[in-house]
Amino acid sequence: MNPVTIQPHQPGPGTDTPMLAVQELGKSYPSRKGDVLAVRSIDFAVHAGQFVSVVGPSGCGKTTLMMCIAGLLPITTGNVMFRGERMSGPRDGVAVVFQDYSRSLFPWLTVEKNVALPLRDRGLPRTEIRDRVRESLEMVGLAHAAALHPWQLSGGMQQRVAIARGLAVRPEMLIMDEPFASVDAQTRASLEDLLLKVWAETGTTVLFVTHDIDEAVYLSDRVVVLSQGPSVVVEDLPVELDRPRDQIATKQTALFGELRENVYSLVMASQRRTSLSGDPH
Amino acid sequence: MSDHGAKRSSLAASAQAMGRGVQSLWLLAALLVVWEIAARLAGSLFVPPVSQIFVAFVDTWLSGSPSSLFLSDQFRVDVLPSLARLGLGYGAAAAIGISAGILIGVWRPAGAFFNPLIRLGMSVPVTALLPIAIVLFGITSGMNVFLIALGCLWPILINTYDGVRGLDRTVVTAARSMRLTRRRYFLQVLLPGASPAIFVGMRISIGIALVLMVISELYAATAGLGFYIVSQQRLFRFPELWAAIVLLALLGILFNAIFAVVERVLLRWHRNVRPEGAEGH
Ligand SMILES: Nc1ncnc2c1ncn2[C@@H]1O[C@H](COP(=O)(O)OP(=O)(O)OP(=O)(O)O)[C@@H](O)[C@H]1O
Ligand SMILES: [Mg+2]
Repeated sequence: MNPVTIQPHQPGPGTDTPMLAVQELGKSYPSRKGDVLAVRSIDFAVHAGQFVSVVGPSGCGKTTLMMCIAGLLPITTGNVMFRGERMSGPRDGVAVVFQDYSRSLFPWLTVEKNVALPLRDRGLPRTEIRDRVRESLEMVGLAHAAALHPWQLSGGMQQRVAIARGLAVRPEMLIMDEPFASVDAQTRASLEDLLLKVWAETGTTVLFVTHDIDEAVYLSDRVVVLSQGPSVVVEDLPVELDRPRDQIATKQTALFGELRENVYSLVMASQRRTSLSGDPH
Repeated sequence: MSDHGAKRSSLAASAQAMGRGVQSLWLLAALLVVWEIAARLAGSLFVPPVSQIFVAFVDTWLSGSPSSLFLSDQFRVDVLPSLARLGLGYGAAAAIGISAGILIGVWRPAGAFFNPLIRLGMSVPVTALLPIAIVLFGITSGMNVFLIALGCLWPILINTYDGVRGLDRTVVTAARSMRLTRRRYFLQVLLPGASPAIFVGMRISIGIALVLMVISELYAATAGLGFYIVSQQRLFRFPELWAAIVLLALLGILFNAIFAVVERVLLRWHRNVRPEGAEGH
């Protein structure tokens, strides 16, 4: 037998291997009238510890892209590399928070049991599971709701439970699909700040999908702008706003305004282009 | 907050239900009085007054010693065999129906293969199979059990199948992203998710079971409630015959009450989830 080669230390933010590399990812859905292309070709990379947003108009294929990256949908062309390894299905270390949070929580389980579920059957001692559940519920400020059922909570609270469930596994990467799309503006702002706080505390890499340009710029280190579907990457924009960010102060800076306008015109331009070049039906 | 609201409203609901219960009891009492008077006036042999039926009921079924819970020997001779057949037939139907329903629900090719067979089985009136069952089993308890099981099987099977197939896609995807073990997926996602539908099937079937128990015993049995009813008819003992019918009605009410309790306890989440979005106002 060959001697076991010791793996080099996990690459950090400074090294070349990104945590996630999406390479020419394409996805088409089979249908009766032939395949429907949802995602044409997407390339981008996310380094460990980064907060990266993906924005694009509604229906451009964001959910599809996110499901492919999370290994929940088979991809048609291209590759998804996680720490240099090709992903072929869901894996430990990647947690997902879904667009439809109210249905991704299990109503028959209490909040506590919902959060504990992804920790089960992994050889963790009972006490460790209990501590981790408590810890992640505390992070989202819901320790007091542990014994309730999801349907006894408000929408914003349910979304926080979904985030806690993602955090409980201490993921290397947290993928979130429009997590705040269906809560009111105030709740949304406080959830955004909560997410930034948790991100700073845990050092988890975040891939955040949204159609809200302000939200993307406010939260991220980088914004990946998608075209209208079938989507391609229009621009990969660094966001060099200072941290910690503030809902009012940050959004008043000139740089924020510039970035926001920049992303906005990119999205609009891509929409115009597609509607002009799109074949007439 | 929301918890209190839920408690208060469920309290109010049960108070309302009780009010309705009292009202319908008044109606029942009035009907019985009308029956009593009309029967006395008409003096029909076939429809005796309620008071006679009541006396017959107590004499026939409740004349036993306190040590046997006042249940009479007649109860042991006729009701217990009936209940045993019902329990066996219904239990077998539930065991087979739920397992087969889950199997064909999970395994698509089997579902497509067995679907026509199930539809066919469902549309044959089981009572029409009584002569065949008698030929196959003779006049034995096995025949009654077989018929009850066959009649109860289809509703349970088809509802379980629908429940499994109708599992919310977000629920399934979320479970997949957590990489649960098969066992855990089955016990904490699939089974609870399908349980409301399974329950509907079981509830429909208990009514069918009661009907088939009586019918099969009317035609072919040497003991049992159905057999007792026919023999009383032949002896022209109509108060006793009516008392047996009352006992059947009470059994039906008892089974329904058991189901209501089980539903309240096991499917509390389901009742609370259903009014989507309308919660908390
Ligand atoms: N299961 C599916 N089968 C076939 N086509 C699909 C399926 N899911 C999505 N699509 C198509 O793929 C395209 C992209 O859908 P997707 O849900 O990924 O968009 P999205 O950007 O997430 O939209 P939104 O912002 O509204 O959430 C759409 O045209 C949609 O019709
Ligand atoms: Mg989407």
